[in-house]
Amino acid sequence: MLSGSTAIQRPKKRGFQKFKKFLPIYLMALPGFLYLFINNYMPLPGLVLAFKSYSARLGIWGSHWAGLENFKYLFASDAWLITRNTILYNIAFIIVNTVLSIFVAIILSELTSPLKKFYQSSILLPFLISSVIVSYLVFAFLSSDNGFINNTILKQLGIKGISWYTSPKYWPFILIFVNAWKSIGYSSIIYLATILGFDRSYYEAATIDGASKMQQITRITLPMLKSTVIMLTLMAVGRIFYSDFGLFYQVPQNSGALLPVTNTIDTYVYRGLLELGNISMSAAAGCYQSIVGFVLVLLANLAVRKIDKDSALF
Amino acid sequence: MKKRIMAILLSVMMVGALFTGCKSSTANTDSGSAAASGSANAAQKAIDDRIANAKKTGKYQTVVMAFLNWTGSPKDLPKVNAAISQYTEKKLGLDVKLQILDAATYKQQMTLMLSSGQQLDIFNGVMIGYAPSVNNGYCLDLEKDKLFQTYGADITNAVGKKFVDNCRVNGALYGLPENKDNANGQDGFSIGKKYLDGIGFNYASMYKNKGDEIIYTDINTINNIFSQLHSKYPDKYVFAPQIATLVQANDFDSLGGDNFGVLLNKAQDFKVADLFASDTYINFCMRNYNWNKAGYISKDALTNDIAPTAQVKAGTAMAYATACKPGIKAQESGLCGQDMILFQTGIDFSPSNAASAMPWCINSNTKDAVAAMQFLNLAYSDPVVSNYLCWGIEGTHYVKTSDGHFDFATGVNGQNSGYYNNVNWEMPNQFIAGIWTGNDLDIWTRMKKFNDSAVTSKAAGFVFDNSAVTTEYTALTNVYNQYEKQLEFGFVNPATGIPEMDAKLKTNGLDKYMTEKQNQLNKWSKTYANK
Repeated sequence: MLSGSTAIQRPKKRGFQKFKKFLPIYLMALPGFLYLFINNYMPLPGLVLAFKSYSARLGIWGSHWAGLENFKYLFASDAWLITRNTILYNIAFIIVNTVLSIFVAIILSELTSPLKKFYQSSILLPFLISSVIVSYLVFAFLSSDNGFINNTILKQLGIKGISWYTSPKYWPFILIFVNAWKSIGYSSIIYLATILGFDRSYYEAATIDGASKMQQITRITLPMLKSTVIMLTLMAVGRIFYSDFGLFYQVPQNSGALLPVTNTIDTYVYRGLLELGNISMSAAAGCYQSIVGFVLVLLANLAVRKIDKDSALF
Repeated sequence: MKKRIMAILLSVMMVGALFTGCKSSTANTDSGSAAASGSANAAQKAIDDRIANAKKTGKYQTVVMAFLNWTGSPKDLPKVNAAISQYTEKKLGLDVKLQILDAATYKQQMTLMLSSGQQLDIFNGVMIGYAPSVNNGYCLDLEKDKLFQTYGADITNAVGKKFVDNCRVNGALYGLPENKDNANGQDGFSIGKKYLDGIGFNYASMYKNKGDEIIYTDINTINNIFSQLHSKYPDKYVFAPQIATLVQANDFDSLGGDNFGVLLNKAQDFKVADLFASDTYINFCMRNYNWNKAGYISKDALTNDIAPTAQVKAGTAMAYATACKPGIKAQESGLCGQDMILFQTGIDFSPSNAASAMPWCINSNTKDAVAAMQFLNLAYSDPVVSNYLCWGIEGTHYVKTSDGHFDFATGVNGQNSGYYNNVNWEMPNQFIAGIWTGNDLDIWTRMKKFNDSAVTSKAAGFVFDNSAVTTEYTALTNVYNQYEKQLEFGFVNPATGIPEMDAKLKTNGLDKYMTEKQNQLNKWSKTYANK
């Protein structure tokens, strides 16, 4: 009896004390929570638009119901192409970016050069550049008339210039390269932060036991990074049905010839609705993407839990 | 417990959102019924009420009017707003706020403004599209409670009943046409004078009458000029292509602005045909293909979004295609910053959407439709307001010359002027505004003649509503986007490219889309054609 009552009281008191103790941290998190709430939760009721035929006159709630009518266009005859592009590109991005950013993070963590901070900042720089500017940086390389590759590199090698913006076959590589260049800086910093948080005594013990640098990396760093890799990958899998609009629309300069390899769900919706201005159909696309993304996260998490229970998110 | 509190909080927020939604919609119906009490003196009474109210509160109510230009909000816009408002306060008892947006962002900004509840009373439907605006409920039914008849009587006088009626969608009026060129002088070319002089081309003798601004000729002349230009100026591009040229150079009626199902051969019957299987399209693409092969077109044209006029201004291109009309020479020379010579090789053609291409609409969520309509009425009928809209403030932006023209004020030019929009075709009634120097003073008489004598599409006034075939439209647009520039800028051999595209369009529902167009056209022709 006695022990039972204290068992009930203690966590309560503890909970409050804990709350008081962590209050400054909660306060620090508050702007983030508010942002999440305003940006991600408040618009949720707007999803109802996907099932209505929106009229500005009648408002969101007054518009008439349209059933699944708005979703139809996502499954028109070209739908498999855009779905394939979206998913394959994202899978490629996840693999390439993860491998490269872990590679970069490990190199950075092993560096002792005084220039380390400089490397870290400069590798992050592309992440902060807007897609429009990236698209012109790429254009500076690939332009047929004045591009660096056609007019300098290929000319030196005696190869005839390539019309990059009309040749779809090169673009899967260009896009994966540009995406990696743009985003590994950011994700490598997350990995680097994790690596720097590891207990140094593991490495000291390994050094004493005579382990080489390579062995330390493969036996200590990589296994300990596993949970971070899984978390970041799961988050990426949740967005596998979304595509970076700037990358797929701006970087290929909206060139029609490249559509078979650059049209993704987002650009398809944008191109189709640019003239229509149909808000319900855009909402339907967003709704479809979030539902599929949600299901994919659940499935991926399930798979992770099957393999390694401790690494699963939930 | 925490979860429960969270749930309650969330539901309170959602219910709150529900109520705010309701509130704004009830406010709208109120303003509508106010207009119902309209009578012969209703217009004056509305003005008196506003003035009385302004005396009480010390502030005039504002009408916000949005339209586009090419460079974004002009720097003297606040001055122009103040000047118009000073005039309209006395005339209508209201202030006017113009909202001038860059063409590149106009559509997105307008969609946001029209759905957000931000104040916007009058907007121009250019780029947003008339049928989409009506379908999305952006436009107020102008004849609801006799709004148009009571407060907009001068508009019909200004533009003519025929053109007002050509803006009707299934009988209802949602937009008003402006006084502008309602036809295209087809297949026109604008070529820099200094380059023609450079190759020693004798264009001066080609004008039919002395003082003409357009040379009527055939495509062989153009081919001849282009080849001479190319050999004389090999480091410049001869021809800067743009997407709009397909419609501006060919005598088909695209019925609703898309090219999926058109009326061919001057649109003299009601038979919807596949443009991409027609000789019109093949010949057009072939021409550009030949020019491209000859090196007249930049290899980067596919990805170049800079307007042809800007390319000529920058000195990288020498010529481009345009639609001709009275006043075109001054307009294009202004845009290119140099003298341009205009050639026309096609007919004057007026397509079905000539009147409704860029109508003036009243936002369905406006707080005061009467005030909006009264300002529109003034803009169509009062030269003072029209001059403000078209040219800005006298003395600051323009001066009247001794021969009755308008010209830049001293020290002002097209580059540094604080208000020089170059979009008078978009203004409600440019015919009553001043005439810019370089144009003949009888330009509007000639414009009326041009509009009246042009070959008019038999479907004039037909507005296609594609809301039943949006799935097909989205798919077709994506296919067309893939081939459009490659074919129409001549990067792909039409002999192989066109059949490939047409086959792909067919599998994506072109036939269904065309059938829908044909059905609507048949229905429309029974009720409205020949009236």
